[in-house]
Amino acid sequence: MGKVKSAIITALVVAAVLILSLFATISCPLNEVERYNSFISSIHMGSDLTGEAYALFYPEGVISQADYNVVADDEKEEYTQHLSVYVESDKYGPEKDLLGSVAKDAEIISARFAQKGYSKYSVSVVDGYVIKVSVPTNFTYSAFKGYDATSRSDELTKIGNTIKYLTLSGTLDLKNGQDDTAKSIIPVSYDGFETFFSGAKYYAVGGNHVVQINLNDDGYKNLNNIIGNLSDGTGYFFIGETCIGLQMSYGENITGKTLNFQVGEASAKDYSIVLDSVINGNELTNKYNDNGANTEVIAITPSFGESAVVWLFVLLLLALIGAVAISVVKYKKLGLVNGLIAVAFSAAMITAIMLIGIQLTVAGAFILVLGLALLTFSNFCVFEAVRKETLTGRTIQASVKMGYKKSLTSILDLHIVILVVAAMLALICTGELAACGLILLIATIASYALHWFTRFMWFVISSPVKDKFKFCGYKREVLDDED
Amino acid sequence: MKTNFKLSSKMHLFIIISSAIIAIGLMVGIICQYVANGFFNYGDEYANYKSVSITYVNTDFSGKDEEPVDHIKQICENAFSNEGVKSYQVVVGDTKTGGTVIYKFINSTDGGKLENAEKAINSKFAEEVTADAIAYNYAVASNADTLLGGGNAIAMAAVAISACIVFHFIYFVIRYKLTMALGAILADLHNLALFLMIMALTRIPVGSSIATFAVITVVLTMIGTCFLFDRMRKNFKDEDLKKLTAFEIVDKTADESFIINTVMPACLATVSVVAFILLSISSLSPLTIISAVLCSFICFVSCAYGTAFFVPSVYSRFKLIGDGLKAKSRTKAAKSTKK
Repeated sequence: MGKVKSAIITALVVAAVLILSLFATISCPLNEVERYNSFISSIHMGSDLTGEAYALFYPEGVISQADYNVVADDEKEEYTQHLSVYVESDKYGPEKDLLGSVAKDAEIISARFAQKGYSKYSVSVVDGYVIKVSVPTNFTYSAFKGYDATSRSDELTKIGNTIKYLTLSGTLDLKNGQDDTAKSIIPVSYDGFETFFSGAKYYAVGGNHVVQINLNDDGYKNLNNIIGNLSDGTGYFFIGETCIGLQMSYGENITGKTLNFQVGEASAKDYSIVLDSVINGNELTNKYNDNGANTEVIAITPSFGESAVVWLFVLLLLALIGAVAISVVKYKKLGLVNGLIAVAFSAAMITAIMLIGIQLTVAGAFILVLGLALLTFSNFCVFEAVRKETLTGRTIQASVKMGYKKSLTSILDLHIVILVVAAMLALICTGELAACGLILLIATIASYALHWFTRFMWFVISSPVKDKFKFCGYKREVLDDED
Repeated sequence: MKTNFKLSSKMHLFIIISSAIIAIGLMVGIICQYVANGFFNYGDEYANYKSVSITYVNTDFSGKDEEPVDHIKQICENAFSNEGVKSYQVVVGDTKTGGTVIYKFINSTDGGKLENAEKAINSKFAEEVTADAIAYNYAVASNADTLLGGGNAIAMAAVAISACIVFHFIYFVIRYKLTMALGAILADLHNLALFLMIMALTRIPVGSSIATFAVITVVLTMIGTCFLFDRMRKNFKDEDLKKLTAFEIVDKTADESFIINTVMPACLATVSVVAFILLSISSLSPLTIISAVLCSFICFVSCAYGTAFFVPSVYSRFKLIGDGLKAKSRTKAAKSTKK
């Protein structure tokens, strides 16, 4: 390859990598109102980096210090203080049912949240009478810092809705309206509407989000008996006194044993989880916060500190600088080629994580570093194989060809094994591990693609160089004269 | 870097070291399962804790230059230090009317001291806050019993790790040799067991991230075994090395792949240490970070030891047994041909 061609291709690749890296990492204000948020500041973060949101659930008869402070003086006598809460005196004490029922409800709520697939969540019973639910805020860095107020409030609204639905108490019912005056269309002679079903699940196909409720044999017959005899109308699904966003037409028989409801992405999973829980007999005994009407979701700072994201970014940057520095020290200008590829890998990973919407945690960042290590060590492995070939007296071109050929199987095996493992993790696991699996999957694909791109760039950049041994940091083999 | 460890001759030493660590870890874990808080020391994420929460409205500290939250923190920290109690985590949040500051304390903290601190904070508020707003500025002490959630996620992680190890074995049986596949599965199981048992033994507080680091252990072991056994396969096929014994070839291969199997975990361990330093600056409480960093550190050390030292030494015996069986079957075949 000629000097000009080499220079043009090198300049184009370097410019592309630099531009992508700048877009990926640098945020800046565009004018007084608008702001450009870089890819990295648009990545959703786990609770260890951008904090968690929590809500407290007070059962009927239990109030907080804040509420107690504004209770009229003559009514205060009705309450007994228990650490941070005030309990109506007739419900207070270990001999009453309230303590036990709150503990049981907490177990059910915990089981419901476990199905949501959060990277981290916790359910606690505070002072015996209050349930505390904590979930990740899922903020991006820009939302966390308040640069993107819309995204911040959207995330908190989503969390608020999830918390509201997953803490609904009461049984399943089908009513003829959506408001408080609506009446159940399921006659009392049946043993509850939830006994009609065997379970509920969520699935998504082609961008549609579906809640599927499965009828059992008796339920199929009973529901047809009930709705077949009614005039045309719409039935609304209720859990306790709350109408959830599922509705079905009646007046004609249903044909299959599954009811499918297409609903919005944000609530589909919540509906399926709470329905499945109620159908399987896991109903909450108590009503909390007036059925969710008075629930306040509070976002708190992360346990790793408010600037944890910045320091994590510094860590990733140091890892990248370390990889480039080791490459340059060991392989001179060839190390720079490897450095360029490492930068491209980092920018590509940031872009992919942002586009796919993977939640990044500290463990996920370690997986990113592992991916960078995979790429760097794969390249080092080939560089060493090429160095060995040069020691046999071959030219650099011949050595590169032979080195890549000899290490092909080991690099391919390595990437296939890691790729399958990553796919298994992403498919089988939930929460943080599934996210880590997905990051590893993308990192492995990027690593293999860039491994070959390294060869291309090695060829392009080293073509016009006269002393290719010096370029690669190899020592030329001096053959002894045998006389 | 060339080493001259002659790992093949030290198999018994490595087996004793690994078995001792795994056995002691298992014993400590089982004992703690019954007398302490579980097989592992479940940390902050799963731990019961005591807390003091302060709820405030924003406009109460008029006349002060600092933010309300900073002044509140100062009042609280004075009250806690007067009582001789120390929180392990402080978080702040915004509410509709102002904000909240939550101090978390380990469960064994004296509840009486926390209640005294709470009273001291409230009396300080009564002095400094305007009378009509006092009802909205208060501290409360509470106990939280956290449910051991995430069981489903950990069970799925266990299934995924098992599936990965089985896949690793099958892939190595197909692409390499049965003895190498046995070496690979031994490496996965050994390193994973070593990591988990050291975690149980050292009682480092663990959270849900233990599953992630268990997975990283397996992945890093797989990377290591891929390099090791690929090199091994090439060296066994190399005509120039035919005159060497199996043990010598294994030792030579272990030497050749020593750097990759130790430097990569060492680099990642260095990243862990740097993460600890940087995140400690961020959180101002190294206690919050230390368990995650130690967890990752143990993961990398287990991988380096297992893949670079233990596996080559044990594989040399697998190779010997494999070759012995092959020779036997060849002799049998030759005899039957003669007959």
